Amino acid sequence: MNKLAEPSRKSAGTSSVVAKPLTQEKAHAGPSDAALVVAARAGEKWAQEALFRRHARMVNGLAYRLLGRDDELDDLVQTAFMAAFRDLGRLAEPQAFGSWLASITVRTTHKLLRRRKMLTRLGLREPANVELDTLLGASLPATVQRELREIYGVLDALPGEARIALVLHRVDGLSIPEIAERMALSESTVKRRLRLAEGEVGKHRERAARESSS
Amino acid sequence: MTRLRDHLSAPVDEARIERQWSALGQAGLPRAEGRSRRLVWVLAGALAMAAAFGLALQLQPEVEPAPQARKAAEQLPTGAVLESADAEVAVQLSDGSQVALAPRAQVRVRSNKPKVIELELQSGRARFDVRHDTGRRFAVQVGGAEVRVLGTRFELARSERTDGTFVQVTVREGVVEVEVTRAAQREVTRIHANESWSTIFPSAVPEPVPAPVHDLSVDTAEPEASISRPRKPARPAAATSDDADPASDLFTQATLARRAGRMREAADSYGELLERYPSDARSALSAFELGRLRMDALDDPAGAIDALERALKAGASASFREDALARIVVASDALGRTQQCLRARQRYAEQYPSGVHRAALEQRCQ
Repeated sequence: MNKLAEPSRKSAGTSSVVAKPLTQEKAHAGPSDAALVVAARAGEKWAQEALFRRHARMVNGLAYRLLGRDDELDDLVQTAFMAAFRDLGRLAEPQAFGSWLASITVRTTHKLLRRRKMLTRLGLREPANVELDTLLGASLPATVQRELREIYGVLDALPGEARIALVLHRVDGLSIPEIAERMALSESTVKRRLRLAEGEVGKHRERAARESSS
Repeated sequence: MTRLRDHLSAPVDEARIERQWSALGQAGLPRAEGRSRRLVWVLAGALAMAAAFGLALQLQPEVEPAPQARKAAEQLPTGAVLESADAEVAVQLSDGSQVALAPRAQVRVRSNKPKVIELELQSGRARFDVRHDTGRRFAVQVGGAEVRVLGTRFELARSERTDGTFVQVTVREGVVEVEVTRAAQREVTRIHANESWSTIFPSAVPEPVPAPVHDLSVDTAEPEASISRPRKPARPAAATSDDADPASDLFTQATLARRAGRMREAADSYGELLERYPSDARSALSAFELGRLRMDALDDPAGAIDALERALKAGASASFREDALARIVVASDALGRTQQCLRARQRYAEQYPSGVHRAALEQRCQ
């Protein structure tokens, strides 16, 4: 959902203003995504490059928020774009390339998290936990810091789907239907995963409150 | 309004993006899979038509089959054939899943048991709204492909061409698995939401076994008699309800604009739909989407509250009612309307005591 965590307030009466556009709303110079998709399907490398350059920041940002660390970001971005270019022929609505690519990024991240967890269990790699201090810059407002610490403080303890659902919901502000679409899950499954994750966030908050009072 | 994500920026600059692009090039950029594998991927124009068709069906996600059709469907024996004439019809299967047949479509029931649903699309197009049940097999045979699902919404189309049987799968929600066997080679493909897959089976598909026909285009007050009725020839296509449904067009327009990131345009279309067709079946969902857009993209929390309240009054379905109630709390909070926020939070807590937004809402209305 949206901004359940958004801390800012506005004075009563402010409304109906066309605000700053979201990244995805920015008017892109040059051909539309739909046109680029059609050209890329036809094997035009320049169209693939244009799609990459247009959406690379979105994919990097999404993957970074889901992983909570930087070291596997490049591999993940590469895997997501490779999958997108390979499966471009399946995209039913070429103009929706951005949201389709975001779904692929979410799935790719989920696979990475599962593989990582398995290798860690087998003792084949060190745990790769969220890098909280790198993630949260010192300049963030205190309320934002607190909320992000609550969320990212529990991520490593959560199963992959619950982790992704929590970040998409609380950090990215997606609604449950949107998360369901991104993760290819039913809405009721998303709600179950969110309940689990929110339960952990609640416990984390209580622990933090106890520690600060003692 | 900012989201938490706006405070988290990935450590990515132009130089890193450049390196990532170079790495992609070195790894060998893949080409979109095409005819070389004998799979014909749908091109833009055809996709737009398919998407338009899919959306038109999606606009009526709660297709309620006529009582007589549902009653008859529950008695569908193995081998029965569902056939639509010149209008879309929907039937409910024994596990609660729904099948909506587009005009002049034919679906054969291979099994209609609660734990095994097996259908065959013999001609035309159909939408499947499948209830999630991991213990039940749900499969649809179409041409030489078998489409297997757990719980999802998807459409199938089949048409006979001079070069073979054309089959198309379009997934709206969830994931389906398509298994194709050619020359003793099994090929399994997973199709995700917003993806479309198609192929041509050059070899002739065996003729369906003659079966009793259940013609849904006629009054089925006596279902037993209608099931054994001889098959009628397909009637000429007539205009579907969506052909002359401006509310449907507006909804489609809004959905496409939203998916393409044109939020203002999407909001205008939803707003127009609500203004011109306030009692349309899609008004609750349109009001919810409008509220979401005003809140997330257009920085209009007051307008968002109006739209979300309207969605609730219009009978928002359970899938987004909870979200609407929670959003009203957040929007009121953003406007600094503490009393309204507290009332909205109380309303949410009463209706969803264990709701997924409860913890987050507790931080609100301070």
